[in-house]
Parts: sequence; C-alpha cells; structure tokens
Amino acid sequence: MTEMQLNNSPLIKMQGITKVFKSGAGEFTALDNINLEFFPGEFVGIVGKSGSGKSTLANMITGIDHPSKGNIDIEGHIINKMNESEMSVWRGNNLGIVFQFYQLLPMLTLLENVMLPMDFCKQFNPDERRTRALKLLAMVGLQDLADKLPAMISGGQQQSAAIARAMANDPPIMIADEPTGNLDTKTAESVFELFSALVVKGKTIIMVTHDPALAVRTSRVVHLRDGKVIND
Amino acid sequence: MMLRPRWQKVLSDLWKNKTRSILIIASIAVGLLAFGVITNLFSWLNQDMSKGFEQTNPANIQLTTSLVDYQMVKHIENVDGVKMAEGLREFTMQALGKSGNWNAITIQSRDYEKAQIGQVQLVQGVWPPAKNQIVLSTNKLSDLNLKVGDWLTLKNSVGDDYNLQVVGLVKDQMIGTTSGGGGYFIANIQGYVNKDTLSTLNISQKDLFNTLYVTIDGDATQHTTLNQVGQRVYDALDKQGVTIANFTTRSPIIHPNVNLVNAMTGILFMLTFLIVFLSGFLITNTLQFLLSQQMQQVGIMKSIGATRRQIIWIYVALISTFGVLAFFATVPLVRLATDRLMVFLSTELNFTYFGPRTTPIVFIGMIFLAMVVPQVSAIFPILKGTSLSVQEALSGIQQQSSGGDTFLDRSVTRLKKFSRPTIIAIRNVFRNKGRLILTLVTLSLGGAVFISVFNVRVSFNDYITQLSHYFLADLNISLSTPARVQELEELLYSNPEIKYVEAWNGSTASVINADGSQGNNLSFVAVPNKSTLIKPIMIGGRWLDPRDQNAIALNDGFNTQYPNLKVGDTITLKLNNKNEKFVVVGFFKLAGQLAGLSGYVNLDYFNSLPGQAPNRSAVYRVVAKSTLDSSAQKDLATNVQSLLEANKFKIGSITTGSHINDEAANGFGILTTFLLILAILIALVGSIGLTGTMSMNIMERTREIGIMRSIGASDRELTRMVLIEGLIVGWLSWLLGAILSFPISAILSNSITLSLFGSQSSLGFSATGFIIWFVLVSILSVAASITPARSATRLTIREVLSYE
Repeated sequence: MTEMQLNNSPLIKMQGITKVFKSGAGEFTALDNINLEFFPGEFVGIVGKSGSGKSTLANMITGIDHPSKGNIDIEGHIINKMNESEMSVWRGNNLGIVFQFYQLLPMLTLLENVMLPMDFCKQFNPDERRTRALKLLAMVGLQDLADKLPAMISGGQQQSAAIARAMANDPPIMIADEPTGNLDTKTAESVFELFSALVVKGKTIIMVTHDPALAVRTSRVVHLRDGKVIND
Repeated sequence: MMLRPRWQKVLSDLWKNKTRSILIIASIAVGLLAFGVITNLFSWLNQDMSKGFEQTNPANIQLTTSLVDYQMVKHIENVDGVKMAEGLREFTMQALGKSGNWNAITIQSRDYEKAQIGQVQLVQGVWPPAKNQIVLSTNKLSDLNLKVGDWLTLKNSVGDDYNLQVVGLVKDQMIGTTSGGGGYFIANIQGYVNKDTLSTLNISQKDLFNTLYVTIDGDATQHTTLNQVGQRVYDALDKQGVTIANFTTRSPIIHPNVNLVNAMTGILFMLTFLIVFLSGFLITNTLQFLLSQQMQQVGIMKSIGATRRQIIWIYVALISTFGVLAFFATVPLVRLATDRLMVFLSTELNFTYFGPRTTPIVFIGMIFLAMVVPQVSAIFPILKGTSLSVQEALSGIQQQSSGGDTFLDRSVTRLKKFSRPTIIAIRNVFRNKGRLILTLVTLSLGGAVFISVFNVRVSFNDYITQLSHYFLADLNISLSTPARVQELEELLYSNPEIKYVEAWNGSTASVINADGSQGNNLSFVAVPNKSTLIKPIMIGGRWLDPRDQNAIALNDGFNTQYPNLKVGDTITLKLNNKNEKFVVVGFFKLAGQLAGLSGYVNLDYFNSLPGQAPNRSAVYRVVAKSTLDSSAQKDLATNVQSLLEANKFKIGSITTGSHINDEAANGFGILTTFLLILAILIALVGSIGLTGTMSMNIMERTREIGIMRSIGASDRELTRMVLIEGLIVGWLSWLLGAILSFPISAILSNSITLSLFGSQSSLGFSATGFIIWFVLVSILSVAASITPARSATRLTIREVLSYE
C-alpha cells in the first residue's frame, strides 16, 4: 500500500464489477468481479493485452457504460445508478475524459472547445470562462493556436487541446483511454508530461495504455487479463 | 430462390433504417398526392359537371316571356329544329326564414309528371310536390334554415301570407343558367309547387306560362346550330306578339358553374407543379444524406470489384422501390381525398357527383411521377457518391463537415451575448449549406404560397368591396309594378330612420348582334343623372355625364364576351321589344363573369324613351340616417316592408346592401377553400422537409452529441440546441417566404381574377397570413425537431465510440 493510500480514503471504489456483453455469438464477460480503489493524487496506469477489458474498465468509471453487476462509488455517488442526463452533468463537473481520437468538436475553435464544458456546467462565470480557457491552452502550449479549428492542427496538438478541455471544469479525476495510442513517440512523451504535471497539482489520473514503457512511469499499475486484475 | 446479395442489400437498406425510408417515401408521396388529387379532381369535376348537367336534359334555349298558353308552347315545338318545348310559370315571393328574416324566393310551377326538360334531382323527401306542398332547392337553403317537414310562410307582393309544407329538397342544375357565370351564387332560393297550389297562392291565370324551356334537334353543343334555332324560336314568338324579357341559349354539356372550375385550373396545376418540384427537392436532400451515409459501403463494394455502373444500378433499384412503395401508399389517399373534395364541391357548385372511379390517365401520370421524379432528383447525389475513389469512400473524408472558418462562422462566434451551446446551435444551421438551401427553398416557397392565399383572399374582399360601390344604399327595393315616384318617396321619408331615397329604373335588355340576330342578355340599369349612390371604378373611357343622352357605360363582362367593342362604338340593344342605339362611353369594373353583362344609362334619357312613364319607377334605393350593420339593415328592411304593404304597394323584393356583398362573397369562398387546401399541402411538404433535415443533421452529428455528453451536456441542453437549430431554420424560411409572398400573391391574385373577371385585381395584403404562417412554422419547427432532439438525448457515448 502506498503512502497516498494510507493517508486518504478512496476517491473511486469499484465493488464486484462484472460486465457481460451479449451478442448473437453468445455471452462475453469483459470484466469479472473487479474490486479496485483509486485514491486522490494517484497516477494509475491500466495495462493489458487487447481484449483484456482495459477500455471497458475505463468506461465503467466514466459512466460511458454500466456494469452488469456491482457498483461504482465516486466520492459517495453511485454513478451506475444515475440516468444518462444526470450522469452527463455529474461527469462534466467531476471527470475529465481524454479519448484516443481526441474527439474535439470540428466546427469549434480550440478555445471554444475548451470553453464548452464550462458553458454546460456553469461552474465559472461567463466572464471568467475565456480567460480560464486561454490559461488552460497556455498550460498545454497551444495559446497561439486558440482560434484554430481542430482540422488545422496536428494530432498531438489536438490531444493537448483535448487535455485542456478535460481540465476545463477543474475536475479532481481524469480518465484517459489510450491517449497516446494515435501519436508518435515524441508527441506521446509530451502528452505524458502534461499528465505528470497535472498529478503534481493533485489530480487523480487513470490512464489506459497498451505501452508498458509509459505504464511503468505511473505511480501505480493495474494489470488486467481476461477481465480480471492479475496484478495491482 | 435466394436473392442476389446486391438486391439483398437494397432490401436491407430499405428495412434497416426505417426513419430514413419513411422520410424518402413521404417526400415522394406528398408530390404524388398533390398531383393525383388535383388531376383526379379536375377529371372527375369535368366529367360529372358535364355528364350530370346533360342528364338533367337541360333547356338549350330559355325564354322569359309575357304570359303564353299551352297552344303557344305547341307552336314553338313546331318551329324548325326544335325537338321539345315546355312551359313553366315562374314568380317571385318573399319567404320567411327561421330567424325571422324575409328572403326573395323564385317559385316555379309546371306539369312535373310530364316534364322532361331541366329535370331536378331529389336529395331528400318526396318529388313532385302535391297541392299546398313545396319542394325547395338546396342552394341558399341555409338562408331559410328549414328542413323537410317544416312549414314555410310565403308572402306575396301585397303582403298576403300563405303557409306551405316543405316536403322535399332537390338539386336543380338549371339555377344560374340564364345569367352570367356567377348566376348561381346570386340566384334566389328556388321553390317548386304544382299547378293546384297556384290557386292557393292566389296566382291568377294559373294555366298560362311565362318561361319556356326548349331543346333542339341535332347537336346542341354547336354554337351556330343553337343560335340559328334560337333565332327562329325568338322570331316565332315575336311574330305572335309575345314580349320576350329574357332569351338565353346554352350548350347541354356546359354546367353554369364550370367557369369557376376553369378559373382555378391554371393556378391549381401551377401549384401542383410547384409541390412536385418541392417534393423533388426533398428527395434530393434525403438521398444525398443516404449516399453520404453509404460512402464507406460504396468504397467497400468498389474495393471488391463493383463497377460504378453496378453501384449506380443498386441505388437506382433502391430508389425505384421507394417510388413503388410511395405510389401504393398514395393511391388510396388520392381516391379518398378526391372523393371528400367532390362531395364538398358538388354541394357548393351544384352538380351531380357520380362517386369515385379509376381514372387511367391519372394513374399513368402518378406511376410516371413515382418512377421518374425520384430518379431525376437522385441522379446528382448518386453520380457524386459513386464517383469517389475507393480511398476517399473508405476513409469517409466527405462525411465530416466541420463547418469551416467562413465569414458566417466568424460572425456567429462574435455573438458574445449567447452561450456557447446557443452559438453551436446557430452555427449548426449553416453546417450543411446544400441541405440548408434545399430545405429553405422548400419551406420558404411553401410559406410564401401559404401567406399568398391570405393575401389573395384580401384581394377578393377588395373586389367585393368594389362591388359595394355599385350598391351604396342600405336597401334596394324592387316593386312588382312601377309606382309613382313622388308618392313612394313621401311614404319612405315618413320613416324617421330614412335619410335619402333615389328612384332608379331598369329592365332586362338584350344585345342585338351586327347581323341583326339576338345576342346575350344584359342587366339594363337607368341611374339618376346626379346619383350619389354609385361610385363606379372605370377601366376604360368615362362614367355617364348628367348631360349625356343615349350614352351607355358597360361592365367588364363585355370585355370577354364582346372583345371588339370599344369606347365610342354604337351598340344596339333590344329594350321593351324595341331596338335602341347607344354610344359606349366607358367600361367599368364589376365582377366580370360572375356578374354577367350590365349597362348603365342616365335615368332622364331612359324615361324619355317611347313607352316609358317618366314619373313612375319600380326600383328604389334607400339610405339610412346612421351607418347600419347587416342586422340593422335587415330591421330597416322589415319596417319598410310593413310600411309599403300597409299602403298597398306590390313588393317584388327588398334586399339589404350587405346581403348583396355576402352573395358575391360565396363564389370566392370556394376559390379560397381550394387555395387553402393546396397551401396546407405545401406546408406539409415543408414540414416533411424540415423534419427530414433535422433528423439527418442529428444522425450525422451522432459523434458530436456523444462528445458533448462526455463533457457535461444534459438532456435539456441537447434538446434546447436541437430546437434552436430547428427554429432558426423555420424563422429563416419565414423571412424568405414573407419576401417571396409579395410576387407570388401578385401572380396568384392576377391569374385568378384575370380568368374570372377579365381584369386584374388590386393587390391586397393581410398581416393574418404572415402571422399565422409565423406561428405555424414555429410550431412545425419545434414539432420537426422534437423527435430528432429525443434521439439526440437517447444517444450514449458508447454508441459514439462504436462509430470509431
């Protein structure tokens, strides 16, 4: 048990999480009775082979998908009991998500993409939003590209903008699903550096990756195989 | 047998995305529906109006004469070319309505058992009437508000009351045959009694006739034949010293109200073409989307060896299937809608409806439209979609439309007062500009026609207001026999409500053609030289000058029936059995074909003609001291009637000023109903277009919606964004439609009034159409966006990821 875990109560508690997908070919158990706790300030790497259940696990925490069995408790909220609309609002305030394919809105500039979560969740005054978005873009080194559309910048820059957007409402937790999977080594390194800097500022980051070299640089590695935790 | 995989794909594309398939089928169906209903309606209308009228064995020649006996009728039957002649007795009385109002009623009596010409069709009750019974025609029945079994109180010109029981209702297609095209609408209620009842009603010489119905041998549809026999009949009566007040010839297949239908033909077909055109736009819009959705499939098919031609055939087959389905969905609707309209019109236009039937030409037209219009509309999207390279198609490059950094985008971004989601909603409107333009064209044109219908109605009302310029008095009194002007004026002025009385005069006259033959009848009005109760609207020449002698001003009806007649020409009229020459000084606007022909001369000159009694008149116009509404005019009419009866004057009829306007408005009501039905159809096309566009927009933006979900967008926020987008499209279309409605109103209004009245109308505008369409388009926009908005809120982020 790490020092961080000793000093804090868990931020995220996954209790008996099982996820079964049903299809014409039969049932497939993606997650099998997972019990995990994540603590404030942790930088957790979720690793495993393709099909091991990494992304499904991340989807459980973000509320993108619901478990077939078990509960996910984040700061006292059982998120799998929320409906889609409640979940969206709660997620906007408490979770930042970074996708492998960036998922920026193509018709909005980088600045607007970063301001959008603030508009939805209204945590910040309308006057503050622009300044904060510019500050976040500066943090990821994109202040000069704030008025560009996503299509006009590189993949790495888009992913940096996506990280800035994930930080828009200052959520305590950030979930990243293969954030460097679509980037070259050099760009992946700079994205990783951004995550490290956020951890230093007290954020909890859970990063799904298939890159062992990156995983070993996190503070904790959870290894999945066939939907089960084989090493934590 | 197993279907080949490519055709399996066609079926799968049809079945798997039902919303999309329904949208495409609806887009095709709405055009088919409009075309089918309108062409079917005109086909059935023309068949039934002509067939139904012919089946009544209508009189080819009609004459209103001085009293003649049965021998004279037989004498006419012996005229060369005459097949049959029948005599009728017609007279006018006053009939008491349920609401206490007196209405002029024209009553006819004849030997119904033997009558063969101009037969009526029994609608309810019994036919023919027995002694002391009356049968009423269905026209104007609402004025009396009576039903079979009720008792009808009649009053003759000296004020004696009689009660007859209403035993039946009939449709009489001879109503309106003796006057211009609108004769039916201005005709009195018709009553039918037998010869024995004439004694009850105190009608003297009940065995004599004053109306003759004549049919001819040979082809009565031939104008020349009809006129030749007509002239022989006229001369035969003339030689016997019979006075002929009215003489009319009519083809047995031309229903008196057919000109109203003809007036609408051009405009309705123009609007139908517009609907088909707009439906084509919808199809293009939807198929463009279908092709963009299928781009990757096109890529895959190309990568495994499909040629462009083969892929084109797959989509041609798919679109043909949509066309076939739309056709079968529309056929029963067309039949049903036409049937309902025919039932409505057969009552309004007084013809016999023979029930639904299959019209092969309409079917063929619908099949052609169902198969051709979708293919033509789809050709551009198909050619574009199938021309992409495998790489482009597989990567779906063109599926992503980011909007871009256009002037519009930058302008929208500067809207600082709006929240980001609102700005996104505004910007989304302009994302797919091609689709937006197609949607706006459809919805704007639909809106423009909708607004125009209301403007056209105002133009019609203006026309009716213009009519009132010829009836400026509160009451128009027509006596059965002329009375001494001074005596009657003194009596009328004894009523404290009456401010002013003018004695007019007039009679029925007929035009004498250049070859000396009898021409059309006209209403001949002698107006006091300095009358203040008429304000004519001149369309050529001038109005009568008080010093004019044999001058005549003619109405616009002459422009169509005697197009060669000009200001300064001399016209010969047969007046009181004598030919009189008049110089045409001007043409005034009345109601064209709806009003028949009329001519106005100075009263002083008319009184100076041989046979006239200058100090006697049968027509009086009365103005009240205060401005009277419709019911106050009716009260005054009742008072005046009592006053005249008490003093033994023989009253023909007393009509109120507002009644004359109401009658004229009836004909227009049918036209506006027609236009409104089309406007609703066009609005339907527009709303299908908007629903389609909003659904396609949402389907296309599934991923963006998922992303917004992942960063905190609630159901409410997403719904709001979709609704704002829909409303902006709706409001933009309203703005464009409002602008377009000005020229469209002018085109619609002019083409109808030109064909109906022979002159263009003044263009009227009403805020009503603009407001109703704004409210309607707002409701439509919200309704069209609700389902897509719901789908948007139901999307989960996991579905978004599955799009990767």
